[in-house]
Amino acid sequence: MSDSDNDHAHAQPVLRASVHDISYLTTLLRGVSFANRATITATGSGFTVTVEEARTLLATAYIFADIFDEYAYHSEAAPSQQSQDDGVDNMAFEIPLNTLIECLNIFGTAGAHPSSTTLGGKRWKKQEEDKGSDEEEGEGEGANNKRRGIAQYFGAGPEKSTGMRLTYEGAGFPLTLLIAEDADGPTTACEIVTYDPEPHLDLQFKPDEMILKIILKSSWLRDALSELDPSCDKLTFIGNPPPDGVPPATSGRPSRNAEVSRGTSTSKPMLRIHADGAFGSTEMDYPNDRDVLETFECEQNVCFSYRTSHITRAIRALQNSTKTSLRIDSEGLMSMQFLMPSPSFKSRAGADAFIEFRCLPLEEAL
Amino acid sequence: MNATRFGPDASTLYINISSTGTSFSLQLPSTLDAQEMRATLDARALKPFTKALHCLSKYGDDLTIHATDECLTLSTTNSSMSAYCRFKYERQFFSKYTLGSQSSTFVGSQDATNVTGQLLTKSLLSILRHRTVEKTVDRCELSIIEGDASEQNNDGEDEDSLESRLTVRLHCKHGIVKTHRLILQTPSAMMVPGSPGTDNESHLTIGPRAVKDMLEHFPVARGTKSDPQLVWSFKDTEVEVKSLETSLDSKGRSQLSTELSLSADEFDTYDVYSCPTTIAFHLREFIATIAFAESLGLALDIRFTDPANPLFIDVESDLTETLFVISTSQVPGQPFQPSQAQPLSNRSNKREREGDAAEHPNKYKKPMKAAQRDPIPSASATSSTPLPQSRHVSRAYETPCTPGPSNRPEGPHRDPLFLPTSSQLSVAEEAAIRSSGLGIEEMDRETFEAMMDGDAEEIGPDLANRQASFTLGSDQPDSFELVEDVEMAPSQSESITSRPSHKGFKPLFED
Repeated sequence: MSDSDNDHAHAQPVLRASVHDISYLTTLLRGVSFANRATITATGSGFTVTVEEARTLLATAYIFADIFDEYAYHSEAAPSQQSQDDGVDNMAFEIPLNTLIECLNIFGTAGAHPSSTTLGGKRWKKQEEDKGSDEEEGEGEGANNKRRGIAQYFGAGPEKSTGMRLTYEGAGFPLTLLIAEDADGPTTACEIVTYDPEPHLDLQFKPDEMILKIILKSSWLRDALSELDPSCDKLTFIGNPPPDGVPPATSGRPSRNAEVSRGTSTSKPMLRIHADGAFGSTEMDYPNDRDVLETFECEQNVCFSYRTSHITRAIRALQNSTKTSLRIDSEGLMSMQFLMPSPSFKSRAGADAFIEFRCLPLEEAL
Repeated sequence: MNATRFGPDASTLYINISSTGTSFSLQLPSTLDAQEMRATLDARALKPFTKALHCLSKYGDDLTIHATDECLTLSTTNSSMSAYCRFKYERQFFSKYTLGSQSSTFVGSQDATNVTGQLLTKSLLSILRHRTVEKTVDRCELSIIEGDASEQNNDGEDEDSLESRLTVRLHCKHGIVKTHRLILQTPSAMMVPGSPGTDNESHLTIGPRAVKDMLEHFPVARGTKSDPQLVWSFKDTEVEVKSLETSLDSKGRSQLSTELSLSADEFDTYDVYSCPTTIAFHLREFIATIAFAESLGLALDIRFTDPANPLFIDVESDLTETLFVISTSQVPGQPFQPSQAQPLSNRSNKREREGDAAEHPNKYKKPMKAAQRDPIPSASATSSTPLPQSRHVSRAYETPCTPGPSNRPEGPHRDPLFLPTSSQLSVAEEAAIRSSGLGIEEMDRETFEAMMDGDAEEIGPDLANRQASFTLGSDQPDSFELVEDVEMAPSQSESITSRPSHKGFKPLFED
């Protein structure tokens, strides 16, 4: 390694990003924080955070560049290779995810961003979370948070929120975070050690062989998962094709009659989530109703089981998500994508970030 | 025995049997007659039902469900059997309530129809208490299907099962249906409360709010194992409540001792048999009771007799009847009430025991349990009808009528259930026995019997009675303790077991 290379690295860090409010970023990171070791893969258009569990579950948070105020990616690769600018170009490193989240929350301000979704339970939960984490900050910070909450809707300047700048110089360097609680408040510099990336599971979802596709409000799935008895270890998703020729009930207020006929005519529910536990079993049936299942595509009967503990890993992501797309392919690989609404005006124009969970089914003789 | 057939259509036929008044007849769950119960709760009824379950979960871990034609009963007993809780729902409480046999054969009127089962309270409560339930559930169907029947669901799925199951079907908004199936165990033992109706009963009625406001001054440390006791002294015009000083916090230190008095005017009914009466009982279950009564705005009906008999609390609303039984314990340092002074039947020990009672006023009496294990899961466990005297099966749990202290002052203490065993003699009592100079403290049974025989002329009638009680209880393990007591601790006032033969028996614990 020559000195010039080193200088180059210093001048042009591989990744440099800054954001004036870290809460959205933290929310996304928390959605996948069930395992500590995460791989961050940076590209020109953003980065992904990937964790896996038991070689079965792979969770990825897709964080796009436009949620940041500033985002710069410089490939370590030689400029000649850089010309093939087709997204293959990336740089990966591993990082202890929990440490990263703790650092971001070092002022206790990362937990309570006023989300654009209006889920009562979620809001309450966040406030409680916040309360738990910033005990030492006292009243002043609480008031500050409130002001920030209102200012949010007026597109207030960055001085009301905790800002962050992250820098990654390249392989072998730590991830450097500079966190400012306020525009004129204290700042913290953190350096988090990084590791060489380990290869992850290669779970390729085959869209061509998709046999079940459901889009539903995240709250339905969240409620279903949270109601499961902790003793349940197997969770089965059962999809039945909608009855012949009956289109899903149109959205809007379903009439009383429609509800009655639905109850009687459809013998099999379109979506059933079944769980077996130590004290009995649980079944949740979802009808053919646009209010519940916005999209339901299913050609044949589908029945795949998954380990409950893996699926419930998604609860945290679900809590902050508005919509879920749940797909299963012919081999039973399930892909759940959770749309994570962005609170800021700027990124609302662009794509919202999302979190994807992919999970292999349990082997079983059907 | 009625023939029972299970045809493919058996599950569709339900037979409702009118009340026959024979609800106490034995119905073993192993009979081939698989019963089932279906009850539907609307959203309005679900709330108090969930609150009841919450209260039950504070009392005990296991929930016993007992369904008869007329009512559905939920009951539980805590692990030490010092507290019992029972909720009885009339069939009108439910928007739909059917109980029937899956068998198409008509069940003879001699067989009372009932369905029983037991499960962990928590597993049912966690389903109904979930925060989404209150918001989204339109109605809730509970059904119990007893096992050993080839049973077909309404869904058309065949699910043969040997286990009894409780199915909770939650019909939510948007047509979402959540079905929880919980496995039911056969109740190993029915818990049955004693029947309190005695002459010296004190009766109080108070609104839950007043009690709650008062209890707020006695904080219970949350999360710790501490279970403080309160001492209640019922006087002519006021009630003194104080925390029992022996209750320790988690670090073993004595907690703040609080004492406050409550005017008798706070009570809607204030009818104390003899003032002052002092009782003590644990707070945990009592608080759960208050919380339940307060959430539904129902008044508490409190009954108690004396410091060793349990406290009974009735909370009644239109379609619900709730009974709480909490064991009380004797307060150390509280003198016996005059009404409880013991007349002595054994003249040879009489003098010494009188002195004993005076010198050791804080003689400890073992508190009576709030509920008793009934080995037979029978139909009438929750029936409060006193049983006919002739019934053999109830014998072991019968106790004589507790008479008024005026004419039969020894009354409450003849209850064998709270006789101290020989191992429970207080130091003072042992000292008293030793000081009696009789040498009986080291005496074994044969020697003692020999000695007692010598006194036969003196104590004739009593001995005869004692023997009578011996034979009465001799087939029960419990009663051996009783016999031992008589042998080992003759100086104890409580050990008087004479049962005047003319007295009618009344069941303490019904089967």
